[in-house]
Amino acid sequence: MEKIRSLRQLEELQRSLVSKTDPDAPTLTLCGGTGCRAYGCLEVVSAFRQELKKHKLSRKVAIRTTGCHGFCEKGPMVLLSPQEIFYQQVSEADVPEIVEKTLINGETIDRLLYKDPLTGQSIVKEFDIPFYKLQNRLLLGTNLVIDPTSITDYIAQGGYQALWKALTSMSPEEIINEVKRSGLRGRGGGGFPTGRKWESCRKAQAENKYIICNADEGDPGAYMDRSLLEGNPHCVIEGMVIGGYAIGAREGYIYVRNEYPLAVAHAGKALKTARSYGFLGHDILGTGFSFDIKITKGGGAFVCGESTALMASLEGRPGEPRAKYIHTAERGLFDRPTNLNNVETWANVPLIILNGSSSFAALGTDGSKGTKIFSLVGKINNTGLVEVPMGITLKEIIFDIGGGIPNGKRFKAVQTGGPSGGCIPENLLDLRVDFDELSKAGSMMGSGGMIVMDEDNCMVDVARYFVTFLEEESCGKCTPCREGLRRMREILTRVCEGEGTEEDPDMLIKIAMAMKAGSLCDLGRTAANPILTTIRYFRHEYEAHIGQRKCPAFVCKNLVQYLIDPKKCVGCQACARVCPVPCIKGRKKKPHVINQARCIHCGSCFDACRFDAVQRT
Amino acid sequence: MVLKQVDQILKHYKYDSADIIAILQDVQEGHRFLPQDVLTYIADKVNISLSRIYHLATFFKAFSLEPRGRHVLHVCMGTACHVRGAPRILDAVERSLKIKAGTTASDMSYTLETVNCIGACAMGPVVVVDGRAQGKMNSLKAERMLQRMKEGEAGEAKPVVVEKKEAKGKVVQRRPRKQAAKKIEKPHKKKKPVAKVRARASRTPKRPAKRARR
Repeated sequence: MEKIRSLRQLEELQRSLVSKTDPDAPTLTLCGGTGCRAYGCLEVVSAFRQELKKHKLSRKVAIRTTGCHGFCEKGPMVLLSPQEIFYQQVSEADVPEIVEKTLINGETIDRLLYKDPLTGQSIVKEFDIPFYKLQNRLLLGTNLVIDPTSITDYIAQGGYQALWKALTSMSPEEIINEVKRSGLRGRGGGGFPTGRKWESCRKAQAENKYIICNADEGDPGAYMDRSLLEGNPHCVIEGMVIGGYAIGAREGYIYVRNEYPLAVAHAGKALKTARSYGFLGHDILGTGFSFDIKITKGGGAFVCGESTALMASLEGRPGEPRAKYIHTAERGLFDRPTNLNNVETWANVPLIILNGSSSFAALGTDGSKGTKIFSLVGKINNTGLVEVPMGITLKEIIFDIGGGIPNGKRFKAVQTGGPSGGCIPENLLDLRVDFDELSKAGSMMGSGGMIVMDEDNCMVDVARYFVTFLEEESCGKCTPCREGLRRMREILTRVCEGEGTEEDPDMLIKIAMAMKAGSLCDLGRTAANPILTTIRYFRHEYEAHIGQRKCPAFVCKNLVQYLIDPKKCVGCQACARVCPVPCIKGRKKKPHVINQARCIHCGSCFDACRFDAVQRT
Repeated sequence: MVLKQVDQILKHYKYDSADIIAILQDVQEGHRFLPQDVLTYIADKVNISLSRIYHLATFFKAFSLEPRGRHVLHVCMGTACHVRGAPRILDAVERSLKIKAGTTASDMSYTLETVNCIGACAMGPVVVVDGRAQGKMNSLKAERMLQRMKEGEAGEAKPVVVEKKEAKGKVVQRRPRKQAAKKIEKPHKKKKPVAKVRARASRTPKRPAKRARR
């Protein structure tokens, strides 16, 4: 490939790519994100290939495997264009029917269409589905139309034009001012203004500076960074090159989580092709500016999401954070000025440069601009990635886009911000989601994980879960975090086992305050947020565990007793068959009894009973 | 892993101590754990202390100093899976395999590990069996899957097909029909392709059984 050296060349390439693609040519677009791959979408793709071959349609119908569409609940998904028919939960068995009925005869198959759960009506087009309709997909929208392994798809969508604009018609200071004016704040969790971060790194004096893209997305239940990097890696790369030019860096790193092999593969391929087109490497676009990016896999440590720990890990040292009285903008990676931003932050940069800061700043609230991607998971009907403008309410995200709670259960809380965030109760559902409002409620934006919980979730158990998680992930360097988390875990375990005392909640608050004041990095400083918010909003659950020795949600094993209602039991023996101990006795067609002395409270009998005879107290 | 391969890896990274984590990752990938003699060899070649390599190998979760079993099970303990009941699934798997999370069975058949999130939250709770995600788990389904895996340990590990039926808003697992079980047991019969089995096992319970349509 000849390197691109002028705007005319880039525009001509884009024009020729667009003119080559016939908008009326039949195309099958399949979501090939990690989530859909787990559902078996690759098998569906190969089934389509075989079926098309069988009907001699291989040359007429194109198949495109894209990155994550976001509607993970309904994968694998197939989009047929130009008719714009959207089929969900497609299996290999459906493929012959789709080819025959829809592709050849032009009929839609009703059972594969999305059904609106409220009206029961079938929806044909993807964007008529409420889940998509209410979103504002500036970043994720591109995922649907490009093959992440093809740079030409990205260029056809106007890719790398922001890079051209930045390198040829803007000075580094102008770029920084543009980013500052846009009001973009770091999407990784802290929410620090990106423009100001860039400025202080630009001002630092040094021979060599570094740019880092933080893709060590460790928050459990959050996968928007992965979906961006594996679905549209070029926009992250473009953002990083612009950032490198603005700051004066020559080298960049993408630090990807070890558990994301597909993101590593796609980003690696994207770097290679970007180099061959002249968007990366020596003398970019003939402007004389040189910048290159290396990709590094993390070692599987949550704390490496923290900037100084990540840099230590990049240097080949254990990922332990350091005190930041000297900022990383002055002395970061290899003791050189370093600018680290999250994947989503980098992905926003080309949009801001190309469309101008005002169009970005038009969205959002006073303090938080633009859109934010949330990963909506847990007890929710429409699990998936949602991109919404800042300032939308939690209620809109959970009930209008997310479709509410499954099985008619009652909403209890939503946990935002990962293990450093907090649990927000039902009475705060009208809260507008932005950096400042969430902090006021005791939680935080974090990287955008949103875990919905219903009445079957115990808040004390959730607090214990996060503390156990953080205890394992704490690097152990500073005492408040290392010891504080251990003591908090011990107390919470005691409470969950029915051995808590009345002083325990206050003791937890005391330890939390000490950790907030004394920890070295944000992992320790924010570790107590899940506990503080659960005590603040759900103190009655702590009191039930301690005072009445009961778990209101029937989660804490030691506080739940399983009993068989003799009136409802038909003696089908389903429970006795599944009991692992076994401690359920009874003759066929006669009511059964659980031997409480031997019961291990595993709940298998409760799951197995189809007559509601097994009851929890 | 022979030291020749280690040499190749070291050469690829130009014996640079800054790339030590990547070197260890490549070694682990080839061998599935980090043998002590290899670590001593690397320390010598890259010229860093063995204690620092051990610091790294024990600090990062991706590394294992113990050999791992023939089958590796990862129970996802991410928040989304946790709120959907992952702890009970881990309990069931531990009970069934008679090993604790983070350990390997003495006959090297299974290694059981937990993972903090694989990002397939829509399928949660998830158990990853030898790299393949099995979704919408519950304790019964997990136990039956393991039972089937143990039975098939001589041959290939294969996840069990469990029929699903919705009753009173509660998902109920039924045993596979006798006929279906027989089919799989007969060695001369053509086995169902694994992909098909997987597609079925991961279907959401909300959809009615596909059989009616075929």
